[in-house]
Amino acid sequence: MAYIEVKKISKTYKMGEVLIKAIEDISFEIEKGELVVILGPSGAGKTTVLNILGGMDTTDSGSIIIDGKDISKYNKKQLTNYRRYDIGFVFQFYNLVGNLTALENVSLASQICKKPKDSEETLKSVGLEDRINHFPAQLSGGEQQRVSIARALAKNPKLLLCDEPTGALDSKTGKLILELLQKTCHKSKMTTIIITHNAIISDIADKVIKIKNGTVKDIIINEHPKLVEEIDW
Amino acid sequence: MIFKNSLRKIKKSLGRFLSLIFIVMLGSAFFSGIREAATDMIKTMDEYYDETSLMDYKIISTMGLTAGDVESIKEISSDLIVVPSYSFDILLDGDVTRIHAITEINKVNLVSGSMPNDNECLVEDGTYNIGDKIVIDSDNLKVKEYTVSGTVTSSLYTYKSKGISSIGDGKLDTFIYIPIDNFDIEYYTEIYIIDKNSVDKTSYLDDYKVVINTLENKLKELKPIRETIRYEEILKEAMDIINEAEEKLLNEKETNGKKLEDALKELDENKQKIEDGYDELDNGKKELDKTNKEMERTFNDANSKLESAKKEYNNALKKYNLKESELESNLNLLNEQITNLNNLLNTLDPSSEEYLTYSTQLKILEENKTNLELLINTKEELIKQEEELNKNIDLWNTEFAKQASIINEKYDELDEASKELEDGYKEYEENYNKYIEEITKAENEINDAKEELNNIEKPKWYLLSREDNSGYTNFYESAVKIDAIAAVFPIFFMLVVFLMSLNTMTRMIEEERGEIGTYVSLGINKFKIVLSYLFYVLIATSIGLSIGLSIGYAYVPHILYSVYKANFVIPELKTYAEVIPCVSIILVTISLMVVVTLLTVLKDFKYVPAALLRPEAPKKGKKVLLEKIKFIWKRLSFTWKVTIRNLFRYKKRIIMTLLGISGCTALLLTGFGIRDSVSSLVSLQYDKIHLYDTMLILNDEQTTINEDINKVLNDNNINNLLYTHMETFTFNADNKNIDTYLLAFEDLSLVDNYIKINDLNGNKLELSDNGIIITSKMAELLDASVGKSISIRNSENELFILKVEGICENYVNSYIYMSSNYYNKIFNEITYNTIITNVSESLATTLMDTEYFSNIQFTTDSLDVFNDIISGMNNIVYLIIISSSLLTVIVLYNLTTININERKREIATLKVLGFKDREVSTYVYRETLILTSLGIIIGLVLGVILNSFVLTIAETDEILFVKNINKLSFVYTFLIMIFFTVLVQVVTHFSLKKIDMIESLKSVE
Repeated sequence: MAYIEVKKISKTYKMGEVLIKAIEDISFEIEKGELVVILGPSGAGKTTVLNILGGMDTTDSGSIIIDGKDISKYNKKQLTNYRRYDIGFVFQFYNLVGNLTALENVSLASQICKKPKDSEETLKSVGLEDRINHFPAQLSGGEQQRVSIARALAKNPKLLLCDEPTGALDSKTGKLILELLQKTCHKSKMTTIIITHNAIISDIADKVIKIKNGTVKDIIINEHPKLVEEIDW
Repeated sequence: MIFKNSLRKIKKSLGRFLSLIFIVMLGSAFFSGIREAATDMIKTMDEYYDETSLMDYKIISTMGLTAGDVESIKEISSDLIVVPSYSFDILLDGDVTRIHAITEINKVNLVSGSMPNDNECLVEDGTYNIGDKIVIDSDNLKVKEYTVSGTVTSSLYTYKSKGISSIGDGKLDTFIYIPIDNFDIEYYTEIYIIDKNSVDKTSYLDDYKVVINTLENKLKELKPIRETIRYEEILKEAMDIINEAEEKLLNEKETNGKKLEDALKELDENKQKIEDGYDELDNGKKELDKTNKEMERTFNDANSKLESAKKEYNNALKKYNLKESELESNLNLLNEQITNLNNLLNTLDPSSEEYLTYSTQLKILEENKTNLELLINTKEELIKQEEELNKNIDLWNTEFAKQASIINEKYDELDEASKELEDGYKEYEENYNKYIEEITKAENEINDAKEELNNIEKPKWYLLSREDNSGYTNFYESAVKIDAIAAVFPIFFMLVVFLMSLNTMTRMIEEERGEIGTYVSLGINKFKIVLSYLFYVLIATSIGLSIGLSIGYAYVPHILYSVYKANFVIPELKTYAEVIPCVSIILVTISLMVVVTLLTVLKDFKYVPAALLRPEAPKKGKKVLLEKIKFIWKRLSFTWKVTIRNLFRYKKRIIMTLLGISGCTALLLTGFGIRDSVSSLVSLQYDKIHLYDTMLILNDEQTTINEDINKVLNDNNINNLLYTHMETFTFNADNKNIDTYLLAFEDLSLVDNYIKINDLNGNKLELSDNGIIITSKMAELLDASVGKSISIRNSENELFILKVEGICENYVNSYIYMSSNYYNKIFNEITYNTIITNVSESLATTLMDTEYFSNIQFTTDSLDVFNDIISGMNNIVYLIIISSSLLTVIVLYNLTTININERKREIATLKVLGFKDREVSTYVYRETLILTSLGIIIGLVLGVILNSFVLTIAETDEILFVKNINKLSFVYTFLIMIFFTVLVQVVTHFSLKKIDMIESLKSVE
């Protein structure tokens, strides 16, 4: 049995009188330590998948089994705990608390976890040993995203979810971030899911799940994923 | 397009729009309502006064008023309406009732029934029923029995306590109006005056006072003139009466004196006559006695003659040896013998011896017969004589008895006459004494009257304005002065409202920065962009204003007014809603809102459109000062560090929160503080300083302790009598004449039982013979200190200089305390007109029935007045507390929502990171709680200042407010604020829960 099994999940939103089918019968599996890219154009439903995977939204039907637990049956409180202990989240716009230093931003997340990594160590591991006491406003976009990643990693989660992590960055910085994610994934066997509309990124993944119009169009397994420096956009 | 956009904005952020409306509404309602209340109340009352033609001035005099007085007042100005009238006080069923005449000034306000005819009357609404018969037994009325034809209220009696009276318990209980023709009083008891110029001026306000002061000055000029005229009139009248009396006395002396003299003469004459009568009688009696004696002598002579004849006769009898009874038989025998002898002789020769013998015998016998016959004759003569004598004696005796009885009768007559005479004399004596007595009395009376005439006091006019009417003044005091307190609040209120709307608008424009950028980059006129915001704001403001003003005008004055309706008999409140204040509120509010909008919007135009399109650079995180103190910072938990850092991130928010919360707290605390100081006033003044229950006002001023009065009081178990001279003086401060009560005590050792004279530190002060002790408020007004002198004036406007030896604690009214010795030094010889003591109210009637007291004043009566004011105050305080609480909720809600809105993304992120709802709330609220607590603490300090400021404004010349706030009030305020903070947080907790985590994924706008 795979580490993550997503089986036939569907989600319909009600917008006034209109029902909008966001996703329908999406199923895929992810193994532990895999770097997965969920790829699709905007509006395809990939964010919905991410929300459901991240415990921020629920599925109307189907099941999501992560490490043997079916989170589709979770109630709100269980979902909060799931986010708290099992999920690391990297936002497109970093979502750092501007009033906290890099270190404090990481601690903010780690202090609520059961077995957090040392915040300072984590920041060092993302290459920000010199920036530990800087405020987000004093950091570049790439640096901010590193803090964001460090914040996710410090929680020592089962799953690292990244929502367009390079979306707000220039390509050079973006590549550095991807490199960090790939390295972390492979080195520490951290299951990582990157959601993007950028097909080029999919080259670095172990598995690419293509989503279009709310359904899984294709699942590609890269036997030999490219290193980040090999790709270019 | 722009306007459509603003409408869409409204739809999009309905909560913000509503809160904007609500803020404006609350502010304008409170502001306009309280401002309007004062105006409405004064104007309603003014209209009532005008409708009922309430007099501007009432003149009463100690000696009544005359038609001449009326005429002379009319001469002052043609603008005056001068109406004389009558009134007097009488006890009806134990109620002190004032009987008024119905006049065209001080018209009554008919509640039910109809105006009265001759034998009908009008009563105070709520006392008698229509149709009831009332007997008013007074010499002042022609008709004694009246039927109630209607019930009324009167603008003279708007206050629950109607004033004082000189009868009964000294408190006027109710009033009755009867037609003026029914009065039977020689002089007018009062004259009402209205100045036509005052009618269009609003009572209580300066315009009115100006008119009235002019009138007062003229009346004051007239006062001494009329007083003198009246005095002379009375003097003349009294002199006339005396002269008349003297004349009468003289007449009396003449007529009655003569009568008495005549009577005496007659009596004396009678006496003489009687005496003469006695003399005559005595003489008669003497004569009679003399005659009687003579007669007796005559009778005795006759008797003795008779007796001697009898003796001779008896001797003869004896000689002849005869017995009187045998005389007749002897004669017969002799006659027989003679006859026989004669017969024998006839037979015998005349010459015979025998014859001769017989003839000699016969001769002897003849001789014997002559002797015997003589004897018988003598006997018969004797009997006859005795009989005659006896007859004469009887005759005389009868005559004598007759004469004697006549004389005795005459004596009796004379005795009676002399007795009558004696009575006559007695009567005369009595009459004479009476006459002398009466004349002396009359003379004394005349002398007394003459003496009294010298002592006749000059009549005194009292000029009473509306301000001397307790209803008129109390309404102003309790209503308008409390409004002065309330008036401070709207300013504070508006300030908070302004800050809140500024905050809301700033937030809104910051949020829509991108949109503004888009418009600017699209080349839309900046003016139009500004307009779209203005439009938004103006819609909110107008809706808020229209609701707020409606509530403000329609309800707030009525809420305030209802407070007073409990203690006053006043008409329904009318809303005047004058244009100028209304428009000025609208203009001020709108311009405030426009300024707020322009300030925030125009700030954005400084940037180039591109900069606007980018999100505003997040506020730079900064280390706070505390971090430099490593020692403390290290010890703080992570969450506390975050909280502290966050606290200092948004300086504007800190200021807003602190201002808002501290403002509300200060308002609340002041609300409680006012209540505290007013309610503590009563207990301080009447439980700690003025301990006496009663002031007995004496009918006659006493120069020294009156044992009779003391006995009456002691018999009723009333002891420790403090004889006091009490007099009202005025002193001048801030160009006002302020009343003060001078109390000079007979026995200084008793003072401490009734009045605690302590300095401001609570140390007891002693009265000396060299100066006075004055109360603190008076000292403050006069800027007096120990050792200085102050000047006061009495009712005659005479000036007196007194040396201040002490300043004592006091809260209500102003007092001057002094010893009788110092009084004697400054004024005339002291007279006591008041006894301060403790009397239970049940004894009032008993004491009033004695001749000694004209009035009994109970401290509880003053307490009642105060309690009324306090209950009024309490309602205002509740209004303040409720509206401050409302404001608190709005401010807190607003601040919290803005805080949450500003940090939606951060909160969403925290949720994604797995923070539990409670943790999220704590994360946000910890800051709010700290800020709120800090705000409350600042607010409590501010409140103390605001409270003392408000109370200083509200303080009257008579009342000194204690500016201390009870500890409990601090606790209440704190708890209420915390309660609302928690309440708001509980409510916003749900909105926090609702924040969608998806928010965190959105791009920064």
